[in-house]
Amino acid sequence: MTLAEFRELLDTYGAQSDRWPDAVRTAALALLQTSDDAKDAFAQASALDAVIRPDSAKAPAGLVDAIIKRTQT
Amino acid sequence: MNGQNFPHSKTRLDSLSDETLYSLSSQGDQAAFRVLTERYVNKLWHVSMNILADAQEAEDVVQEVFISVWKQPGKWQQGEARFTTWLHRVTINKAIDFRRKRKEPPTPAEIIEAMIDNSDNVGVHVEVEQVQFGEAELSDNLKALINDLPESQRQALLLFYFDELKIHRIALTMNSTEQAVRSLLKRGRQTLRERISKQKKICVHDIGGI
Repeated sequence: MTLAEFRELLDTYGAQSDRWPDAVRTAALALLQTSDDAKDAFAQASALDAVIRPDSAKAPAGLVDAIIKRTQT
Repeated sequence: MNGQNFPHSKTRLDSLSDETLYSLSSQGDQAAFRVLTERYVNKLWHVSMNILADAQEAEDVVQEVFISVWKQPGKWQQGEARFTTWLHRVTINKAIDFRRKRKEPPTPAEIIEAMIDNSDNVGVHVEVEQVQFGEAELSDNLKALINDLPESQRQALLLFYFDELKIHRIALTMNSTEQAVRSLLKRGRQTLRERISKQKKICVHDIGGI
């Protein structure tokens, strides 16, 4: 998959990988793993998803405290 | 690294840049580290969820990313990518690692075996609450942006995000073709992204100069 195809995928389906077509998911994730440009485009698409559906972008309560606790051990 | 005592007010820390907070955190300032974590925890969790579709795994990814930020100071170098860009890239790498290391799905024989082993639990049915979101949940600003879209783009996006329909179901609902729906979603997202970037100057800058 090319970066242009990846961007088109994000524009069409958003950043939720489980909503991408099965036929392209593996190739898209492979590109995401190797390309910084793909990572940046993915982060931007995630941000757009979060603006549209802010309820879907809230980390579980207590996650920050759990992280801080782990730094103290 | 042991957290040292750095006397800062929370308000002051909140006003500091990512870079300054990272620098303080690298010196063992736990209050600065906490502010940095609070600033990015939702974004990184959401990015991880988008890759993993598993809340517990996404939580584990975010924990590991922040713990590595704390325990391995200096991994991000000023002058390279912006801090937020780097942090997102690290998170995406970690989430993909988690996804690759997942166990293969169980075979039918293993599923039957597990059901027999857990026969005490047979009959327990867990219902996942289906939460429907409608236009009422949209912020006024976003509502205005979406309402300004052409009707067909607006409808396609709402069906995709809030009814969580697959493309073919959206096509059926809209009495259209899948290809046309894909095109509507694509144009709708592109337009929204441009308008949001222009209007609120978010997204692009917030996630690292993309």
